[in-house]
Amino acid sequence: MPASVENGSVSSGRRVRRLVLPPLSIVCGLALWQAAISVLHPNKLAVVGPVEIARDGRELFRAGTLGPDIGTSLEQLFAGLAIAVVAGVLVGLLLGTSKWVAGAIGPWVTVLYTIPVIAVAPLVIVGLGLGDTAKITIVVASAFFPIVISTQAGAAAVIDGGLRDVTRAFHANSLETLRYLTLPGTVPHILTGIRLAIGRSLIALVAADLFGSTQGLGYLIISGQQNLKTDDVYVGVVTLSLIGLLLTAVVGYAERRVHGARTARGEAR
Amino acid sequence: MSFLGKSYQPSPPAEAEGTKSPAADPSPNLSAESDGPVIDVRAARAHYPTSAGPLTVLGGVDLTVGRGEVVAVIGPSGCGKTTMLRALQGLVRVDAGTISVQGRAPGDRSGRGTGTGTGYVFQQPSLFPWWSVRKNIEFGLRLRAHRPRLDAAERREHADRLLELVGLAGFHDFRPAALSGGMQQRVNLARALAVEPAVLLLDEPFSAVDTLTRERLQRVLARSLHALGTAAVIVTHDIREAVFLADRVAVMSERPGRIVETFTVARSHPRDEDYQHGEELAAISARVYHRLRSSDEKAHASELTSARELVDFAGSPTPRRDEPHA
Repeated sequence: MPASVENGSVSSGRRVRRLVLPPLSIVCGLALWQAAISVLHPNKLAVVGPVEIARDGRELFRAGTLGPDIGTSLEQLFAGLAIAVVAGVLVGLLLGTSKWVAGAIGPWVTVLYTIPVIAVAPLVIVGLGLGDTAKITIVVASAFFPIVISTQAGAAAVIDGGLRDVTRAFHANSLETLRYLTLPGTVPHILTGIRLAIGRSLIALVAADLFGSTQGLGYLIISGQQNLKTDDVYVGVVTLSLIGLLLTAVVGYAERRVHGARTARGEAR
Repeated sequence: MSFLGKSYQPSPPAEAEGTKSPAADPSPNLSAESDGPVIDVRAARAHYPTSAGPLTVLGGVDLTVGRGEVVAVIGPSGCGKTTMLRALQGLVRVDAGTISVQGRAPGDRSGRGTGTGTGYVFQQPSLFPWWSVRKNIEFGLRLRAHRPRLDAAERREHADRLLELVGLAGFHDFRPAALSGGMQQRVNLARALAVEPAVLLLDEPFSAVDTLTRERLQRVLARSLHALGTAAVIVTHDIREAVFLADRVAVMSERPGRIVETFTVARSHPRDEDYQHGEELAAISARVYHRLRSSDEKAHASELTSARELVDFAGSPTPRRDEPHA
């Protein structure tokens, strides 16, 4: 088979796998879910179908409650993620490039990473109140550690790799080594850390709302549970999932771009 | 053509070598700091710490390299060739003896200008995968250690000229991953030459490529060094490569390494493909080989003795190879 045809079929196969398969899988899953509801008629206080969720979501949106809930949650999520990324990358780089810092701070990172956010969320709210500050702090605490750990691993791998000898041989100073080697070399690991942090942040957002809030997707879920509005609970859960899916897809796209640019078998753009 | 003030002849097409370049006179690098040797190593000793105590790798190396001179260092595996090269670059410190590059300690960049330091070509190309070929070559020029500072346009022009010199004109925008191993090694060479070193240090630069590519790269290197008048120290396991490239071939002893004999290769530069496969090179290579073999046999005997001592010390009942089994 000619190489071009082979390449063409490989390329179209990859396109199907990447662009068609995921949405097809979701659509099939939703269809099966709806079919199961129609056949099994489960307790509506526990399970509702995708059609009911979509209908309730539309009503909530028209009533003017879903939009502000999404807005509030996104604000808290992005603020928390932004702080966690900046702080996490800085601390991760420090830990990855200095064995002294890693020895002194590394054990603290391990200990704090394993603390469940739901256990400390009430304490944060007691300390900082019911406002955005407490919610953002809880998101930061959740998102910070995956970014630190991933960045540290990436920076350590870069520093222990052969390119470190190159920067030393060319007499690059510490800042130049950071700028030209450590930071660009660690970017794929930072993106992986952010991808992991997104999931943890969404969980933290709901956990924060559990202990008192008046708006946000977590509030929608909690109030739905308390008022036996199962549809609302599902709307909140599905909306959070969609936000997570979208953000993860964006970061995944950035990861593929970075990886593709480093392994491209053609001219740099 | 100007090369930051230096004259050089751009490379002819890859296989059209052997014609004498107008820049055949291995003119000294600009900004020369003295008329003495560019490298002066005296009784250099170095060791590595191991769990069993310090392992002496260099046992008193003496070596001088003149301006524009190419010296190849060859020796048994583990004799300290790479350690010596890394010491010349300032990547390893010596315990005793002295090393000076242009009259200064290795790695001392204070107040240095163009054409005064060392450039290092690694065994593996070690290119930055996130940069284009041109940006990789520009790397050394972006650093504060490099004087004079060049603006972006000058760096670009400089890199493109070096790409031309190593026969990669037109590949400036390619990523390293798009290049073959041989092409990556040419970029590695161009990157080291970009800082206009007084002396280039090469650590088995062509050991990871196939025979034909290796010979082509040897000619590219010989032509580049000759055109720029850059001195070089090349560590290699390939005797023919050493003889083809070098003005002198230094043979190192087994570990702890020191230079036990030096062979002069009188043939003038540039050397062509005929010389690369000719009888003259073969004859010198044979002499080097016999000297090297004697070093290697000693190293092998020494290893066997050490192993026997270890076995005796441990009281192992394992029979020696030269003893009959019970």
